Amino acid sequence: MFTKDLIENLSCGSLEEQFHKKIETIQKKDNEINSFITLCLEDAEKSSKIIQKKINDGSQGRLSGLIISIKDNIAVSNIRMTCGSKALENYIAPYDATIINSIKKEDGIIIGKCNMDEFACGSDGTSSYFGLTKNPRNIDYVSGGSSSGSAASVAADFADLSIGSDTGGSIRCPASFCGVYGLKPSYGLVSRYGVSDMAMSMEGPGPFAKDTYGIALLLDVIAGKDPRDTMTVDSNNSYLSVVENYRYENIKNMKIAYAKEFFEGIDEKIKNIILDKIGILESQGAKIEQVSLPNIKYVIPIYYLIVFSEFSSAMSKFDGFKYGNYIPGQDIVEAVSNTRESSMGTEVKRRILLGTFITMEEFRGRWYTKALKARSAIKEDFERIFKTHDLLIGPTMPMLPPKIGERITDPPAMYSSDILTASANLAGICASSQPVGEIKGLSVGLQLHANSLCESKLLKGMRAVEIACGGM
Amino acid sequence: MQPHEDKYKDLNLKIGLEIHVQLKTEQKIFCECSTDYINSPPNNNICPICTSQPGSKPMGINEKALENLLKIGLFLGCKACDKPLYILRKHYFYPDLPSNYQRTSQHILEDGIFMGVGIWEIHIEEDPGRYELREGKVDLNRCGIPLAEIVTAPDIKSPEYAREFLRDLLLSLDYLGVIRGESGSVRADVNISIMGGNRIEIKNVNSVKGVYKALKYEIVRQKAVLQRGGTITMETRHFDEGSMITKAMRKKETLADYRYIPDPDLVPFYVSPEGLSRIESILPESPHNKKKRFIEEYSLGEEIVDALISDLYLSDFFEECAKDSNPLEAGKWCATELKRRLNEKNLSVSTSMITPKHISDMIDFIEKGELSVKNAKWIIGDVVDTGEEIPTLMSKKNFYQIRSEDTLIKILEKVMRENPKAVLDYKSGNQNALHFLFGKVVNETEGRADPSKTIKLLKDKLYMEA
Amino acid sequence: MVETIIDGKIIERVSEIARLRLSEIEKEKFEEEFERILKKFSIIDEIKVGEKELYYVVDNVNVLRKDSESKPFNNINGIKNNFNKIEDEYIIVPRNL
Repeated sequence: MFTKDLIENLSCGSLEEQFHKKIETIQKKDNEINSFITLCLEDAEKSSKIIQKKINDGSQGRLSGLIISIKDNIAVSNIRMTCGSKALENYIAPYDATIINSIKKEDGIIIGKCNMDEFACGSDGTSSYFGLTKNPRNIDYVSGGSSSGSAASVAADFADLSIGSDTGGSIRCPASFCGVYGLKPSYGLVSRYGVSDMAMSMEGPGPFAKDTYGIALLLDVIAGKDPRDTMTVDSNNSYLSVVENYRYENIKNMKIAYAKEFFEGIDEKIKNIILDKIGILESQGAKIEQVSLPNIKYVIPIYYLIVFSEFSSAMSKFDGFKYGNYIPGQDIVEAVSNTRESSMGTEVKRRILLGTFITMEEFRGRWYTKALKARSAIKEDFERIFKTHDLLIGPTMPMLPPKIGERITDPPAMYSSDILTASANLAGICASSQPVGEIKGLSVGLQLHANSLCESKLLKGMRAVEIACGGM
Repeated sequence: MQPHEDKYKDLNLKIGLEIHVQLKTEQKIFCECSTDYINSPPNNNICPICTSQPGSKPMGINEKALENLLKIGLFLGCKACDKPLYILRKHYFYPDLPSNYQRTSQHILEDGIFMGVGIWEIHIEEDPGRYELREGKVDLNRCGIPLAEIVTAPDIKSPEYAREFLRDLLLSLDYLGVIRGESGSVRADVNISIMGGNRIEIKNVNSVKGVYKALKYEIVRQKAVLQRGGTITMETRHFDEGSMITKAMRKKETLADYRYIPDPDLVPFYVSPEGLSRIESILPESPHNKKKRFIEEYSLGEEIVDALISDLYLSDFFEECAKDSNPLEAGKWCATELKRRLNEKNLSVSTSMITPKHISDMIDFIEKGELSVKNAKWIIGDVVDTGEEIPTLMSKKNFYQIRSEDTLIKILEKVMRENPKAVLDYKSGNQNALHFLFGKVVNETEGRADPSKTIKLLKDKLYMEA
Repeated sequence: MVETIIDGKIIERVSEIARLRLSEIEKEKFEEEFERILKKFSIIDEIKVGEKELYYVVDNVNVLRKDSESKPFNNINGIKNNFNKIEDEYIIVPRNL
C-alpha cells in the first residue's frame, strides 16, 4: 500500500526530503499542468519543521507530514480562496473550514489551493478564471472537474493526498480522468462548514489519494459530526482499520450489483475494461447480479434543476460589499448588478439565471417542486438495490477525457457527462472512483456505490478491486 | 365596542400590525456571537456565519430563542403548529442582508388573541444589519439577532388602540422576560384600510409613537385622496421618523418575488407536546384566566379588567394595592389615571417610582375627604416621577381639603361680603349666583374647600340672610 | 403539460431579480439556450412522482443549539480586511436617497 509505505518513510525521517521533492516537482511541472491557484510554501515549510520535531518524539498525528492540496472552494485561514473565479480573486479566507482544522491537527501539511471549475460549475476543469488544468497523464487532454486541480496534483505527485468536493461527480470525474482514487462520502458524513456552497443538499468534501489506504486515512480524519454543519451525523471513524483488516477472502461475502442502464451509451472500450474487472471479481468469489435503475434517464434534469435553484440562492451573497470584486454604480441596484455581471463566468451566470427562473412564483411548481418530488424516486431506486446488495459497480464516466479544444461547451449536452455520477448526490449515498485500466494512455475509472453511511462496505469494495487489478 | 372605536366609526378602520421583537438570548440565532451588539463598535460583533462568508453555514437554531418565542405564543393563547417546520430563505438584495436572503421560519404558532385583537401567527427569523440609506453606511453587528414576528388580525379599529395594544403587549413580553428592551429592539409594519378599501402597508416603523403617528397621518392622507375623487390602490409606503409622515416607495423597491426555498442547511424542527407543556407550566397566568379571576375575585367591571390585565406589571401592582385598599377603588385608579400617566411618560409601573402604598394612602385620604379626586389626579403624576410620600406631596401642594365648618364659614362670609351683587342675585332667584359664589370660595381656598360641605354651608347662609 | 415560453421579457425580469446585468447578445443567447435546456428537461413530466418533496437526504430533525455565553470570533480583522470600502468601521456602499 503506497500511502502506508509513505507514512512509514516519513516516520523514519524523510519528511524534509519528501517535502523538497514535492516543491521541486511543482516548480518544474505545474506551470504546464496548472493545478494550483495559490501555493502556501512558506507556511508548509514551517509546518514541516514542527511536524518533524513531533515525529522525532513519536507524537505526530495520523497524517504524519503527508503533503495535502486543497480545492480552492475550501477555506484555509489567511490563505486566498478564489473558488476559481474572478469574483474572489483577492479574497483572503478569515477562517478554517472544519475539515482543515482536523487536517492540521493530525499534522497534514497543506501545500496549496487547487484550481477548479469556477464555483464548481463544470465537469472538465476548463472553466476556471485562472486557466484550465491539464491532465498529467497527457497534457493534451482535460483533467475533468470540478475538482480538477485536486486530482491533477495527486496524479502529478505534487501532493500525497488532496481534498476536493463532489456535487454531481466533481471528485469522481477528475479522479477517473487523471487516474487517481477519489471518494464522494455519504452526505452528512463530512462537515461542509468552510466549503463554498454550490448545491447545499447534495455536495460535500471528499478525499483523493493514490490508493484505498490513503482514501481511508484521510476520510477518518475528516469524517464526523460537527455543530457547525447541522446536516452531519456521527461517524465511527475507523475506516482505516476496515482497509487494513481486509483479507482477500472477504470478497466471497460480497454481493455486487451492476445496473444495465449504466452501460448504455458509453464508450465501448470503457465498457469492456469494466466488464473485465467485474469478471475478475466474480472469479474471485463475488456474487455479481444485474439490476435495473429505471429512472436513470431522469437524473440529469432532476439533478440540474435542483442545482440551479440551490446555486442561485448560494450565489446571492456575492454583491461586492463585504468581499470580492466590486464595480461601483449609481445606486445599490446598479452597483450590485455591475459587480455580479463583470466577475462571473458564463456557466455561473447561466445557472444563476435558470435557478432564479425556476424558483419564481409562477414557474416553481412546473420545475422546482417537481424536481424535488422526482428526487425521491432516485433515492428509492438505490434503497431497493441496497436491500439485497452491498455494492453497485460500473464505470465512472461515459467517455474518455476529451481533448482540450474538443470539449463540449454547449448546454445541455455538456450536462450529460454527469449521467453516471449525479444520482449518488441526489440520493446522498457514497461512491468512489479508482483507476482500473488505460486506453491509449488515458485512464479508465471504475465506480462503486454503497448505501448511505456504508463507507465500510465501499472501502472493502475498493480494496477488492484494487487487489483484483494487481494493486498491493 | 373597542375603546376609541367610536371616534372613527364612519371610517370602518381595519388596522393590523406585524410586530418584530428581539428575543432575549446570549447568542445569536445561528452563530455564537453575542446579542449585546448595541455596545459594540460597528462591525465588531461579527463572525463568518453572520457575515455570510463563502463556505459558512448556520449552526443549529438557538434553543432559547425558540423557547422564548413559544412562551410568547402560549401567553397569547396560540396553538402550536403540529408538523415539521422549515426555515425558509427569503431572497432579496439589500446591503444590510449579507447573504441577500433572510432566514425566516414557517408559522410556528397560530390563532391567539390579546386585548380582543386576533393573533394570526408567530414565526422566528434573523435580524438583518443596519443600512443608513442617506449616508451609505452598513453595520453588520445586528445580523443574526433572533426575532419573533407577531402578526395580528386587522382587528384594531383606531390609532389610539393600536398604541395601547402595542404598548401593553411590549410591557407584558418584557414582564415575561423573553424580549430585549433596548430602543430599536421593536419594529412594526403597519397595515391599514379605510372604508373597506385597499390595504396600505407602512414598513419599518420603529416606535410605538411612530405607529400612532403613521396611522393618524395615513387616515388624513387617505381621506383627502378619497375626497378629491381618487382611489386608494394597494401599496407599500415608508414611514419617515423625522417628519412623522408616510411616503410612497419607488415602484422598483416594492417589486418582490422572494423565491422562498427551505434552507438546505437547516433541518426542520418541530414543537413537541411535552416541550409545550413544560413551557406552559412555567408561564405566568394567561390573560384569559386572569380576566376571569379578576372579575370573580374583585368584582371589577369588564372594561377596568381589560385595562389592567393587558399589562402584566400593572395587574401585579393592582393586586398588591387590593390587599390594603378597596379593590374597586384601587382598580379604578390603576386602570384609568395611573395607566394614563404611565403611558404619557413612557414608563412602566416597574420603572416608575410609584408603589402600592401610594395608591392605598391616596384612596385613604380621598375616603376621609381630605383629598379631592381632582387633586388626586395631579398627585398621581408627581408620584410616578418622584415617589414622594402622599402626605408630603399633599402638604407641598396644599391639597389638604378644608372640611372644618368654622374655617369654611369664615371664608364664606368674606366672599359674601366682597360680592354683594351675587348675594342679591341669588335671593332674587338666580341659581347661577350660587355657583358664582362657590367658584369664589374655590379660588379663595386654592381648590381645597370641600365642595359638598361648601355648597351646603353657602345655601344655609344665603337662606339665613334672606 | 404546461409549456413555459421563454421570451425576452422573462429574461429581462429574471436578470433584474438576480441582479445580473446582461448585454443584448447575452440575453438572446440565454433565451435560446434556456428554451432548449428546459425543453430537454421537461422529460421529468414522465416520471411518476409522489406528493413528497425531498429537500433533505438526511433524517436529522430538531438540531437545536443550547444558548450559552457568547463566543466572540477570533479573527474579526480577517473579515474586515475583505470589506470593499471601510470608513469609521462602517462598510461604505452607495447611498439610497
